[in-house]
Amino acid sequence: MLVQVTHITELDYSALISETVMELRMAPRQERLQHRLSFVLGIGPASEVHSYFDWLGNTVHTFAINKLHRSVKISAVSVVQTYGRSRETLHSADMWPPSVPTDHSLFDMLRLDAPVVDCPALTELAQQIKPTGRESLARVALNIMDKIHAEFVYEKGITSASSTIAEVLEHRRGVCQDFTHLMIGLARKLHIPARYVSGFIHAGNQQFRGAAETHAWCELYFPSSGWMGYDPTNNCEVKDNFVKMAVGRHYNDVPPHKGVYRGNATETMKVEVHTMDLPEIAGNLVGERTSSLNVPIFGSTGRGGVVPWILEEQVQQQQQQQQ
Amino acid sequence: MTLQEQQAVLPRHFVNTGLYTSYGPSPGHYDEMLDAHGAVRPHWQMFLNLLDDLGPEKLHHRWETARQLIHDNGVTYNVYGDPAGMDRPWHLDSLPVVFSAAHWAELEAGIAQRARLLDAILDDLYGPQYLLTEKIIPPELVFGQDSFLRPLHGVMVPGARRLHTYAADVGRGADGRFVVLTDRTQAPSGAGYALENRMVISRALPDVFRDCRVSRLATFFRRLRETLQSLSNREDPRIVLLTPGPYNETYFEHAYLARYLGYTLVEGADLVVRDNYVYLKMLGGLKRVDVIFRRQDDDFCDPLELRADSALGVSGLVQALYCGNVAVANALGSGLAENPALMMFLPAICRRLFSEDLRLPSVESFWCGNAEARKYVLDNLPQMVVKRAFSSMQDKPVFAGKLSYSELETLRNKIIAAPTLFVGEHYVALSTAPSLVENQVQPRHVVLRLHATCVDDGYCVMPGGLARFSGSADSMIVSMQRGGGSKDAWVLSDGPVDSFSFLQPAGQPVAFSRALGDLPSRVADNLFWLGRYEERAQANARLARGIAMRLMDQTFDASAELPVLISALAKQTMYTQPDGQEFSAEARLVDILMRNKHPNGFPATLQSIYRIAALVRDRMSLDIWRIINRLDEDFPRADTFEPALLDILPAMDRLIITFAAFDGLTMESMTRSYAWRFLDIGRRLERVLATLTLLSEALVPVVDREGPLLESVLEIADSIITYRRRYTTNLQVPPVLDMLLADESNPRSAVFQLMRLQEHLASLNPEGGGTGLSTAERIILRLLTDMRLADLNALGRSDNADDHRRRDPLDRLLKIWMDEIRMLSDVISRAYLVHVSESRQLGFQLSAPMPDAAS
Repeated sequence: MLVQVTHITELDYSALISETVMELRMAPRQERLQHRLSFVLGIGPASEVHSYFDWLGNTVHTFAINKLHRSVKISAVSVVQTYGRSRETLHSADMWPPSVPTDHSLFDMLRLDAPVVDCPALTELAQQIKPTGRESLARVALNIMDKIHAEFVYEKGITSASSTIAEVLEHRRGVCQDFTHLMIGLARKLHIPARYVSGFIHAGNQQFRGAAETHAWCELYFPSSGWMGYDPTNNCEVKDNFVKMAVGRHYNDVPPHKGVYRGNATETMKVEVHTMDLPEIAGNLVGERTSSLNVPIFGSTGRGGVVPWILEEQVQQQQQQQQ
Repeated sequence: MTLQEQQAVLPRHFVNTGLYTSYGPSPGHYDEMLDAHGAVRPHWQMFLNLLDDLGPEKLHHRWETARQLIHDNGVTYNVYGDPAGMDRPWHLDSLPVVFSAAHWAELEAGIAQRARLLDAILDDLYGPQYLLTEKIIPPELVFGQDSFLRPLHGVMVPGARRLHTYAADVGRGADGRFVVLTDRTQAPSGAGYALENRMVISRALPDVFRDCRVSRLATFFRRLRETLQSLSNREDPRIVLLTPGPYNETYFEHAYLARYLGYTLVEGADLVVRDNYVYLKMLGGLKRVDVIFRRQDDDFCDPLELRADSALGVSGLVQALYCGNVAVANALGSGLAENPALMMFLPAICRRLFSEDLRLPSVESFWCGNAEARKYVLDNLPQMVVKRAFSSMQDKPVFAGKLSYSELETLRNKIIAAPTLFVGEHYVALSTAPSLVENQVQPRHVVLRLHATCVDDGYCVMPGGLARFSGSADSMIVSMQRGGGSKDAWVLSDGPVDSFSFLQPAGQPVAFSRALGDLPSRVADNLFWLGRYEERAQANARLARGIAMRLMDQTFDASAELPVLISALAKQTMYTQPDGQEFSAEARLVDILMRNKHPNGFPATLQSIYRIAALVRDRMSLDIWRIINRLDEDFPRADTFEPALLDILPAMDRLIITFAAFDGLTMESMTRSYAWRFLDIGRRLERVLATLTLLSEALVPVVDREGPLLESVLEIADSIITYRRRYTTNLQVPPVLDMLLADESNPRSAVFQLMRLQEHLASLNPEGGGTGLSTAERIILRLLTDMRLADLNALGRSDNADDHRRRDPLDRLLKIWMDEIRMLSDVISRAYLVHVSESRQLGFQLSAPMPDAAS
């Protein structure tokens, strides 16, 4: 499937801020079943963008804005060619527990670590799913997903981006990120290496939770065929309408954007995601490039320049000066 | 050996004066000075004889001088959560612990090998990880902890070294062998304290020090400088010392080392990454930084890549490292090697990597992630010291033998539940050394902290320098945080002593330098505020003294001016009288001065001086710092005594003298650098504001008998003598206004301050002049002209005043001027000083960010 993803992030601040440093993990991954054909990244206010691969092989773009500004806009438009799995995982011959490589390469994907924390409720739930005898690995994976689907309710506003699975297990509610962390936790508890995926779903004319927004699911390690995707939020195996941006141990490794700003201001965020399948790539989308978006910056604080606005800090300093 | 026989070898004076009566080796411990038979070890003999020649009285006297030096230099060690607050004085024992050249050679070789080994381990774990693939160490020790910084795996480091400085805590067991108790590989502290200890002791005992031929420490620091220098390819690299800030327990040391090594002391907020280079924010613009000598923990260094909640780091630092544009020493991620769980694997690693045996053993330790070791620890738990694996700093070691039965069982269960997190160690029966406690020489357990820095072919070890001792004879807990103290450690040299010093030898030609030096914007900002607070406190003290004098002197009637002056002080310090309380004038003065909790109150202002001075102490001479230290004694805090009017007057007198000393020293002893200019700009701005405020409080309302009030105003503004000399007649408002506003020859007048500000700003704006005036310069020019042109006769006339008996034209003018001065202050800080505001993490992006998103 040829999928175009338009991913717009707008950050607005309650007051002028003097510096933003940001990292993006927004470029779809290059993998066996997913080829990135085009990626156009727009940043406003205009700034120079650098990119590198992180230790998980994700493409990271970084930029910094050092002029006074009040909002930041990021537009990431990509086109990927996705391929479905050649066969259902249930047909794979891998058995539970999987034989993982004896070196340490999957150690990180087996370790329970915040936010995928170990807790008694997780142990108990894992115990309920744990196969009693020989079982196919794919069956175990599906059992985990069924269990989550049966016992947990999709509901926004209960958990936050920093919630651990202990909270999810307590509330029995959550969103895609929570379901994904929970499935990862259960899989690791059952000695199956598991990792977090951030990405998008192209729903087409079907119904999917997590379409038209940034979505999350997980991948479990199959010795014979590598990482296989499962979406516990939609209780389904991952198909060619899923677009992967980044993988990691958990959410903290792969937020689409993270950064630091300097200034006394609060932030509000708006994210828009739009996906469509294309018959072919439009000419203006071919290749990879960055561009500038038109977001205003404010005058320099250079020597002697009159600065017409009042910064909140300035008010504070004025307060200190009052006699 | 009997007591008589012991005395035969102990020095005469000490035995005679009873200094040594309580000294003897503790059973089961090695003593550094006496052997098992109570005889003095040969390498101590010279030292003891020299002390003996000195005699106890002289020793005592010299030691008192040295202690004063420590206090005056402000050597401190901050203790977290200590009710006494920050800056606990550094406790240094007068008796060093002495090591022979032979013992030292063994120790030195062991430390150097160990540093090389830990560096090689880091190199492997952040590179090919053969130690893991060959199963020499278990993967949990690497991946099971956050101190393995995954983003840095595979990142090349300049010079192929990750461990540029290393420190080890070394103790000596009962058998006299040295064992390593702790490794410090991230940002080892102590080298600066060693230097300070050595400075104090060698000043207190210069002859003893010289005659004992003690190995010098300076060579180590020269090597350290060379090492840091070599990390950059640039000709004259800019090296900065990165500190977490003054709330860190070893901040004193950071400032001290920065000054000693000649590096700029910076905090994370002083640095910025642009286009993958690291820059220092200076007044003159951004200056590229080549090497960061960090005293900050690994994960705090980059809030973006490493620890999201770090408010101390430099966003994007890791990126700059990827690009090879900056070097960090120690390399980020080096904390991985200080894991106590690693110790039991070191002998095997050493054989594998170097084909050598480990020369210096570690304390016997057992990582509970290993089944055999766990069983051993659990079986012998009461004999164990239990530490956390991975983060040796976070938790205090638990001495299991001291636990109650139920506590012991809790510990046991914790270990069983998460064995990989715990390490058990055998006690080390630490050696004892003589320490002077309450004028008695007593045995105290000692631990040496040894420092090493990498050189071309290995590691250079600092010869001694710092030892720490336990708080009591039976305590083996050696910690600065727990009431112990520190000692100098002397390594006797059997060859010639290297007399290298950072000071240039005499007779060698030195290139002249008059560079004023650029200044980090944050430092300029701090100096600016130091100037302001110092002047503010001074103005408060002058006013308070004027009030106190009038209250105490019953011989003349001050009823007219007292209420005006008290209300001026209340206004200056933003004091609000507590509701429903009636105060006498005396009580009101005490309340305003001592109990005002407002940030502009007098106690808070003094506190601010102290706090900000601490932030810039690397910029100040010792003399200036000593004056700052005196403020605390001049003005005791209200919570330590019940203040009375009687105490106020002498306290204010002392303070005013201290401030005068501060002003004098900064005027006379600071070079006219940016640092001085910003201090003075702050001071001038505050003085002009104080003068205008005083005039507006005192002269705008018309009182019946103006003479005494005018006299007090002149006195508070330190201009009474000049006035008397010029105008022998009675006191009038217009000449007072002239003297305090427009008189260019009076160093207290508003115009005088503005002229100084004009000079400062002109020097900060060298391309200016003519039409190139900066905004700040324009404001000053306007103010100066206004003040010079003001018709002071008309403004001062009281018959002009309206029915409310106020000089309204004067009031309006003074208000306008004060507003202009405040604006000037803002314009200056905005033009030259970076707004160092806190940085925050962007909100994490939720998978369901929009309430109306379809899903």
